[in-house]
Amino acid sequence: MYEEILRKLDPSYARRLTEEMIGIPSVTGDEEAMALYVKEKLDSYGFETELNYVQPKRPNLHATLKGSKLGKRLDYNAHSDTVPAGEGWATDPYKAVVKDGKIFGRGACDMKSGIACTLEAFRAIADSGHEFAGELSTSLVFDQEATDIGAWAMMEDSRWRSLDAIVLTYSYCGDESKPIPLGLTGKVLYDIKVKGKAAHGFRPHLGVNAVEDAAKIVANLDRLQLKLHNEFGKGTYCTLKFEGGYQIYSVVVPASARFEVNRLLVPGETIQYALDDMRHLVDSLNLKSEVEIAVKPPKYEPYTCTMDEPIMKTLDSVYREVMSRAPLYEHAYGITNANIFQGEQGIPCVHIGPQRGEAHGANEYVKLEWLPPVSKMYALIAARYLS
Amino acid sequence: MQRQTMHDELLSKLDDRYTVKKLEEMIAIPSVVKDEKELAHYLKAEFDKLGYETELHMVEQGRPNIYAKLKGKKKGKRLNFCGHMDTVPVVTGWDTDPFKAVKKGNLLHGLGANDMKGGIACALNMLRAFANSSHPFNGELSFAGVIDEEAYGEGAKAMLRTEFNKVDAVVLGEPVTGEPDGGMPLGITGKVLYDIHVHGVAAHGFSPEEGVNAVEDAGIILANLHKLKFKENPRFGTGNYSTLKIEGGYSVYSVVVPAECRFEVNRLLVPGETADYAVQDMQRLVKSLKLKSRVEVKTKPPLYAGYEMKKSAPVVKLFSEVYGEVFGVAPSYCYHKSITDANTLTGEGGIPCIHLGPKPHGSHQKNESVELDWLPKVSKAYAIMAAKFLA
Repeated sequence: MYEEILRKLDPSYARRLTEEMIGIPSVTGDEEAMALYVKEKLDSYGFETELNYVQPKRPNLHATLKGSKLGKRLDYNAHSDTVPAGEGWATDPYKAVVKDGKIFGRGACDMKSGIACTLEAFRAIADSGHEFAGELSTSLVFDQEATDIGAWAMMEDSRWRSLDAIVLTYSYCGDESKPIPLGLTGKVLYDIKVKGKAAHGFRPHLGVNAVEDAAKIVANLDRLQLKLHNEFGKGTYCTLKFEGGYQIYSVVVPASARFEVNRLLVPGETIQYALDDMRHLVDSLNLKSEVEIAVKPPKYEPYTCTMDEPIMKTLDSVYREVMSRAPLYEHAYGITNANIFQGEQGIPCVHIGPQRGEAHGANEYVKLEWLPPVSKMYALIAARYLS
Repeated sequence: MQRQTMHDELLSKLDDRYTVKKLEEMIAIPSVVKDEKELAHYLKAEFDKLGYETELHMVEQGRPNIYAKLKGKKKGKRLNFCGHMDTVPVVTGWDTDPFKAVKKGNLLHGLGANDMKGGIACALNMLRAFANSSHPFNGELSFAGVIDEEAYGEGAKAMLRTEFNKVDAVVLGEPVTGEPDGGMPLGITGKVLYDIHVHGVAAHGFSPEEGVNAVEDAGIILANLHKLKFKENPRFGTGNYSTLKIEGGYSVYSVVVPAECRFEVNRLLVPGETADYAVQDMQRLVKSLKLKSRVEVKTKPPLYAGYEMKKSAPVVKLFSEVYGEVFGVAPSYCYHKSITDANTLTGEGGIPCIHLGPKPHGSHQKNESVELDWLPKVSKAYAIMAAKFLA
């Protein structure tokens, strides 16, 4: 089935596009050129494209192709930004270098090769004249490596909130390196402000030491009630930052302190639950300081999905067919845009993409051998889901 | 009777309007710690005019101490009046310009009004009287205006590195009244500033079990500081601690287990507790917590030695006698949980120190002020102490 589409797939095309996109730096904050490049490709395949400038020079790109009859709406989502190049590269991070069967460059696996595979699949579908139902679309959002302004903006639009399913073209390749998520943890970033009372540091009894009270909370975080989830186990917490006290040396009891704690949430734990849990812990400590518990972005709700979900079934069968083996699945400790699309909005999501290599590190790469099967899976998932 | 007469002549040269004028002028010369130079030059000019032998000692670039001396007729004891020229920075909430002396009834407001330009002004009045009178004295009468008392005490430390270290006694014009709530310290605590570095292991913040969280281990130490072993001193009681600062974790947001955290704890030491003891005590506490992080217990400046004087010490007896004569009551004494330049001068230098100054309101706070009717009494007490000590 779908031979007419598969015949149109051209493995050298995804490779060439990956190389070209590595040559377009798109560090978070500077995503416009990437969006314009991808838009031009999709325009040429006959997709209807639109740029949504959420912030000046920071657009989300959407491209849609309508099927010949009514049906479901499937979107392929990727992010246009990369993390900065950083130190330690053997080659120019913004010039694709092919060596030992790998393409090296910033964004090679996170996630320009995923975008390239999507483009190869979409071009094949469009060129083949294959008739499908519903609507096929892709979304390229910015700011994923920071606070997901792009993905949140996309969900502001009722057109995208009403999608039937989303394929996230991330590097979850279904092997031991990155099993396909059957759900993701959520996360909350506690921002805790402790207000004490200043006094001369030689007379601490006259003040209330905000740093010491904050430390008592930090030292008792093991008493947070982390709920046990059958599949995920328990969430985790990690204090990320703690600051308080003088700027210029002075012997003063600090009147304020602030600390941040990252907490991964398992399904069954909501952001509100996490807030209540911290409040309960703080109240139990009977501190003299006033403690303000807030959360700051980014925050994500956890989610799980089931194998009964049509998009999961489609992915599972296509994976077995193309890879000649069953994919590995897991309930993953991590955060992707699926936390927003599925965790917040309830849109069923799957993740599939080329295996990652040194993502976020120096000498990031993607193996060439992963591009053809991924392009093929993308094409077949679309064809089956929208049949 | 003859001695009384001689004091009368000296005391007649005191001019309390001069004290207020000098105090107003000094408040108008900002001298927030590190910026003491202009006040040092002002004082030098004043002492030059009075006929004192003056020196500026450059302690740090642009930060001089001023040292002024007047020799007596014969060889004898040496008495120094010492005042720090620096003030704390301006805090928020002042009702008036902190650098302009404003009279409100019996109070004179301004930054440094009591801490301690008021004491310096009283000393100036007395030192001027000595210069202008025919009162005979032996030995040497001197003044030291020092920098940096509100920070690291570098000014007093620098004085000890000069021949000043041979003076027989020092009167510090700190705002200490000798009243029950402002007793004259017979001893002062020392202090140590712990500088504690916690070294953990970084990891992704979603997998905290793969790292060692330096911030959380620091938090555990801070939450257990009450387990430090404070020695009991029969006069001081116990020392205390106060965490002054902590910093650890990311600079640019990233979900990483912090590998480094640093915090500072101020600890007051009573006689019987040394800085080495304090370090060992903290090391013992840290070890008992069995943390996974590596913890370095260091100290950083300023470090001050504590001290105690006997009530029977000659300068204390002199102070008591003069105080009774001027104020009509016996002075109160205390063992002070604080730090002044006496920690350096007495604690390190072994020079006995008396504290006396005009009555303060709100040192280190907004609307700092001094009680004007205390200025003449303090000048008078200074004069009689000097006359008797150098007789």
